[in-house]
Amino acid sequence: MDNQLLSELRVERAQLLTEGVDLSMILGVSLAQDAMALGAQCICVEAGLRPWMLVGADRDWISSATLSVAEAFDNMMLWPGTSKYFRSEVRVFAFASAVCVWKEGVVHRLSGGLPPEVVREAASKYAFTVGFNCE
Amino acid sequence: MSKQFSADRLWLVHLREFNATGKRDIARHLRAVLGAVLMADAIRCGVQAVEATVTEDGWVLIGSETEWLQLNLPQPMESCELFRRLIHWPGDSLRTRHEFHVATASSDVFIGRGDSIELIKGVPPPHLIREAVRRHAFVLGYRLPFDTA
Repeated sequence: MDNQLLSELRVERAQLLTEGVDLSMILGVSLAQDAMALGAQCICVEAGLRPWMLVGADRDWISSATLSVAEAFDNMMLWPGTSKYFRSEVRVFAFASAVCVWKEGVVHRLSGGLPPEVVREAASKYAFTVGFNCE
Repeated sequence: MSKQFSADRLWLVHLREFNATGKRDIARHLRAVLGAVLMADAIRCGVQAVEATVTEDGWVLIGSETEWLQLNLPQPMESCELFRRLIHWPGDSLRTRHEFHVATASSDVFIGRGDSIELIKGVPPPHLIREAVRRHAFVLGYRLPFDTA
């Protein structure tokens, strides 16, 4: 990720924390919104495993033949046909201390450490899951 | 700015932003926005896990094991009342719940509790949807006008 972008996102993170925003919840529902808009038909946000938050779905709404999971989390991406709506992955990557993605039975650690076993078990229930920790 | 106008503005902002992509895309994005804010409300009320199911004919079902509508209210109120006006979170003069937004933007809204359906607006869900409703202890379902043609 571009250093300037990362710096701007971290300023945004600090501002949100100052305002008392539940960062994990905001990021979690943003990912769920993206998943719904990108064709997932069943999306679950698990908020009971704090400090980890899980967003699981019946399909991979993030990567494609031309976009890897890592690339999606590393770049600001506009929604096609819009001028100001960005996808949520890059904010998750910048705001969280740890991010993992579960895809086809394999966990991809994008940053930070792996979550505890109870979180990994919950994540494996879905076809595709994004998990993150904002502490 | 009246509260009704605020809720309508949510609708109009998304219509303006997405109208270049065609009708289906407008419905899909607005459907997702409404689903996300309802999931946020549920989590804010203490729900541990909340699930959104999108059906082929455009219904969105927000389900959980806890009925969150009656939680975190400034005073007890009937379910239908929750959808008729903007309600602020207790002690928060800026942020509101989103039942009113969903009722304003949707053509059909219902509440499901097991086998029982409480109709808030429009038409009740078809029989096929009720199976999906029964998977959760509590469901808030809605459908946008674009999806009812």
